[in-house]
Amino acid sequence: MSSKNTLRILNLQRIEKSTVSFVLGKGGVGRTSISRALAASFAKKGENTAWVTLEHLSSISPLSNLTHININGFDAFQEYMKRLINLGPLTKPLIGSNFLRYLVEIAPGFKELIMIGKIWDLTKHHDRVIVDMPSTGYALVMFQAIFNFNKLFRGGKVHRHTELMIDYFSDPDLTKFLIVSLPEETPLRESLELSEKVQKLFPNNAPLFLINKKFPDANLNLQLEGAVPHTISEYISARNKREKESLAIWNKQNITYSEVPFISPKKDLVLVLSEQLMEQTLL
Amino acid sequence: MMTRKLTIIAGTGGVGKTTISAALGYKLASEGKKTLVITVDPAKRLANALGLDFLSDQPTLIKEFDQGGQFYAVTLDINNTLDDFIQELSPSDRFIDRLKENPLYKMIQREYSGVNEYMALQKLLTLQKDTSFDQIILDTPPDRSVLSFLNAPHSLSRFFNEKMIQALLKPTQSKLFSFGSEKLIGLLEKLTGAQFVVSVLDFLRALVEIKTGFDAKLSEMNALFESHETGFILVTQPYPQSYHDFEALLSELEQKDYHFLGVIFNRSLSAFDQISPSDVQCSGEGVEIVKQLQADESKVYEKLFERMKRHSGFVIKLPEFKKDIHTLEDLADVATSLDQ
Repeated sequence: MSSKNTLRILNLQRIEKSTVSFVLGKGGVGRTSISRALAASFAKKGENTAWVTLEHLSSISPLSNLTHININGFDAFQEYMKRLINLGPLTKPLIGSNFLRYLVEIAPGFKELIMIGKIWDLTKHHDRVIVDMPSTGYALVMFQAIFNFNKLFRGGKVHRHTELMIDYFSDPDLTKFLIVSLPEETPLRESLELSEKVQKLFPNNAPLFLINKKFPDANLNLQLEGAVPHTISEYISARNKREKESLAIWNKQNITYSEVPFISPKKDLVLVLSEQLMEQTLL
Repeated sequence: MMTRKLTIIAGTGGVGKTTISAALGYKLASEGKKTLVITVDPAKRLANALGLDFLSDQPTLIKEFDQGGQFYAVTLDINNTLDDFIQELSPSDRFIDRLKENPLYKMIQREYSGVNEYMALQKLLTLQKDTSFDQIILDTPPDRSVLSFLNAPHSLSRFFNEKMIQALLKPTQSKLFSFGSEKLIGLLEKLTGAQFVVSVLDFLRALVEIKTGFDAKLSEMNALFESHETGFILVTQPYPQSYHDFEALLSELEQKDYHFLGVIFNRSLSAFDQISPSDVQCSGEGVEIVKQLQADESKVYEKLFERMKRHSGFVIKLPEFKKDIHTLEDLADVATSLDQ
């Protein structure tokens, strides 16, 4: 294995140290599969792991030994309120009231703050918290909410919590930002942009990159006429070429990243991925 | 392939909406129409697809064709539009100043609370009134469920919910609320500090003042979506997850009775099935993967076809192209493929 590859694979070892990993990236790159497989691989090692999704709508088949927590905004808020306030018999009706529901809805970013607060809270109960974050823009909104409310909540109990969250997520030993991309031009470009934005918020915690679905290299190098491939080998050759060219830009800039190969739809994705990821951290 | 005066291209993240929107614009312009492609494009995808560094927020001529067709493109400048929106609906300058002081207002500008999508629709309303364009294509925002884009006006109207306004601003009017709300506000202040609660209530009062104007805009937008001159094209890819998203989106369009024109099945692998006979080095693993993907694609396509039987809309398969699309020549190739 070339030294470049080793460097890329070692990248993932840094995840070993942290408690919470935020899995980020644009739509379609495989955040859900990757985050789930990462969580499964830690769970396999015997660690108390939670895989977290945020208001995820489609059904996901449960995995044994893996705790899946789907965070819902208003539920998380009620839970939080119950912990901070105790009004005896009045607690439940007040906290469940429409008044509060509307308040949570109307304040921009408030619901997002509550959800990210719940994630932070989970770190107290699990060795590992792997979060399948929403797509790029919305993920940034969630992080930004912590800083916004840190400024806005002066004089309240909650302010302390936002301070603690900022400290926790800024610490690379406690938190990891993992940006998943495909080996294609648009996702790669957007991944760099996302990384810059995350770094602006958390300057001492540089994100890690993971390139997903790298197609196996067939070393064909066919010269193709026309805009569209007509045979399978033409397709593979073109795809390999495109992916190589896209990644060449990153390699020139000395950006380090991990790679996960394209896994055949026939195979059990989580099984293969978690084996891949485990292999990588062991090397 | 059908289009309408306003054609909205919808589909979940990463399916190729922007490229297809641009290619469609190019195609229509090449047929002699004066066409405008509109995009909400913070990541500059459309600009890149056109080989540009950026796009103006005023319609810009990209290419003029010999038969007289013109291809224009424009992007929405998200940062300015919220201010424009407030400006347009505000009853006074004092109102604007007061609102801009509110910390919650500053936060909205960076939020995905439906505002960005709402702003795009606002701009669309303005641009679409420009009758010099024969056809307009709207590329919907990336990385966000298009369901929420279509619902943006409604999700914003939650701020103007009468019941909620009553509950939050006039707690003493309702016996049920009176004791509870005051107590809650007190509690909330202990948790969040007084500034947050004051900001929220102030923010709400400001929204109430612009409610009438907002309601009028909302009606206009709904009318635009429902109009006979508007149609939706869905873009999807040959994977089970993409199909699931497509299904959800189509159901939404059906529920709302919007005009569904057809679906574009993008990055299809079904156009080829031979291994080049002259090549002996073809990697087994890659070939296996492609064959498996093709098999999965057929299944998804079958489901799609069945689902489409309820509609008279088109189904177009677009192949996976050899390289990324970022010049007008590339777009011309995609435009040619759209000729089905």
